[in-house]
Amino acid sequence: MNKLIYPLITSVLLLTAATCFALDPHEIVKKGDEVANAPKDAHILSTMILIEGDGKQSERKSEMYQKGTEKRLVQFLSPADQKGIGFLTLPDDIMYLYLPAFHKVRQIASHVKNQNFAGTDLTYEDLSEFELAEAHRVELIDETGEEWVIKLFPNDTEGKDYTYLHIHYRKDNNYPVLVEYFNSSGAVWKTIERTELQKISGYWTAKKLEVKNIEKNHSTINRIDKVEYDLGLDDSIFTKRYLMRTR
Amino acid sequence: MKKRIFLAFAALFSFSAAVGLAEVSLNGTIETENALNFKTTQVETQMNTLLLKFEYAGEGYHLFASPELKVSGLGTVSDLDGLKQVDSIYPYTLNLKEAYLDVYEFLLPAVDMRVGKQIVVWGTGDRINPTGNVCPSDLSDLFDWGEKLGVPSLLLNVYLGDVIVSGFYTPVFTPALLPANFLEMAGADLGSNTLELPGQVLGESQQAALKVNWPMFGYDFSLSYYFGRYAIPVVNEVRVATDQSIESSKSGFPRLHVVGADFSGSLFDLGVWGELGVFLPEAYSTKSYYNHPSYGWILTGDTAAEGYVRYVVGTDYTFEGGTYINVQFVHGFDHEIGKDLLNDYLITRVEKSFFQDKLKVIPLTVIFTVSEWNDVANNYGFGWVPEIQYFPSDNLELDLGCYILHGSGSNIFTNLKDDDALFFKAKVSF
Repeated sequence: MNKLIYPLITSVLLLTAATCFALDPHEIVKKGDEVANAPKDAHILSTMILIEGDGKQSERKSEMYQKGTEKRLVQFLSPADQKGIGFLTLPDDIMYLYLPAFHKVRQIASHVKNQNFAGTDLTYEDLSEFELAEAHRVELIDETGEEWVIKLFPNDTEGKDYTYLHIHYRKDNNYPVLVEYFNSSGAVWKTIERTELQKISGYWTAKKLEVKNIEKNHSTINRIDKVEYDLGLDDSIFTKRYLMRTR
Repeated sequence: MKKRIFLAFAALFSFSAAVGLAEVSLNGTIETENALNFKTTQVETQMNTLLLKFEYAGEGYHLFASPELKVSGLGTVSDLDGLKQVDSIYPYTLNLKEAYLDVYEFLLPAVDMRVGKQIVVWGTGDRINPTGNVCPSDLSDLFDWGEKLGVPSLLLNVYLGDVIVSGFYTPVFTPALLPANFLEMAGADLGSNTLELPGQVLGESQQAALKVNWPMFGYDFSLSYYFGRYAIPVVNEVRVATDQSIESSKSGFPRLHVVGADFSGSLFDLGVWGELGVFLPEAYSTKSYYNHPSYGWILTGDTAAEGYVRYVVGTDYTFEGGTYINVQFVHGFDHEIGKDLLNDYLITRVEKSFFQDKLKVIPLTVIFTVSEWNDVANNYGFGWVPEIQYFPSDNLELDLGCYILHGSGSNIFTNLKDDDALFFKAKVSF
């Protein structure tokens, strides 16, 4: 009898342990959010390279301040016809745009969220959304030795430019290295890939981010030239006052 | 004139050298604008513009200067002597559009100051701002509405949490820049006209304004007050000759108070904005005289100024696929001065970008007006400006379009209905 009971108990225990140790996909996404949003604040200088289908390239330089997950200020430093254009994101989907030619800051409505920002493949939403776990239903769809692949369905589809996402998380650090955007036909139309991962000031940082718009055969590479974390940025930076200032 | 241009540029480059040329950024644009009248084949516009932008940002301050040189390809030669003058063959103007100093945290951490010749635009309307009166309008290009002239002034912005209090003061009076054909546009014959400018003494010339801006429930709100003058001249005397033609007129710039309010924000996914200005002119009147064959000059009319309200409401939206629509309803334009002279305008703009914003097709920029709602068929006008913008590479913009103007009755479009034109612009930024 004992011979029968021991294997049964062992099997039950093993099954229980397996259930306990299999990571909840929601937890994977949440940890990915935490890794991506780990710095309290950041100041980033970067170069964007826009690549057309025929290989023709153009370049933009930008400066970005970020605090927490809801405050961001981006300003273009070049080219000349984009210099000074600034974009401020605040909590509750409040967004401001500064166009120097118009001499004023303008609040912009959420209808622009899925529009490209200043000719790049990044949308206004890409520049303003950070937390995926709370906004999506998730399921684990694949797992390799190095990555988890999670499928994310938005809780609120209003204004989303995707039906669902596939995000590849690295197992060793939970970093979201590849995001695939699927349309309603189930085809991938856009990808965001983060590479050249380095630990800078204790935080995982992708020094290269490449956005490919497969439908338009166009891509944007954002390469970080300089990054500083946890500077104790004051809230006054994330204001209309600072948006208009020339740096 | 050539000496003055040389000295102006020399001064700016000296400024660059003084603060360290390597640290001064120099940007600018070179632009050519050409317009051809459809019907007469007359070249209406041939203008070439060089705009420079000198900029230097130091610790807690910022300098900016933008000289603009405009050279017309349409000469003004009228006699043989004119052929000896290069500025008769190529008339040119030099203007310092802006030249100012920003001092951040001026005296107090919450205060930023900007002093010098500057363009200040108040209001949430899209390029039409009844509350934007501190700088006069640049109306030199009829379809580039919303442009302003710089004014030598002091602007203080005080930041009190989310509330921004702005104070503006200028000791001088600067009139608006009118279009070359403004009399034709207005459909007016003013005879021999005299313009009475306010004296440049503080009591007559100074202007001031105050604005308070605050966010609430996701919207931005402002209240403002302006004490100044009309920047567009107002006719205050007309003398009609015995044969009923206008013999002479006098115009001036009456004192004006404007109380303003505006808002902007989102309603669902729509962008929405509104702006209102209550115009309260100080007492002035427009007197009409008639040269009676028997009695000489007799007063035939004396119209006293009354207060009036101008407003703008607008919305915009971007559809999936990238088509952008902007609609504004406007009651009263800058040049419509007086309660009975305000017209209603519906302005729409539809644009669609292609090839990652390299090509922008703007089929529907339309401004439609009704001057008399009781008889629309005989009192309407519209301007339609279809346009294609092409950006073959960064910093390069090509723009091809046309103005199609039509109207009936008394309005600006009726007056200009023979001025349909094709235009081409090219601009390089550096």
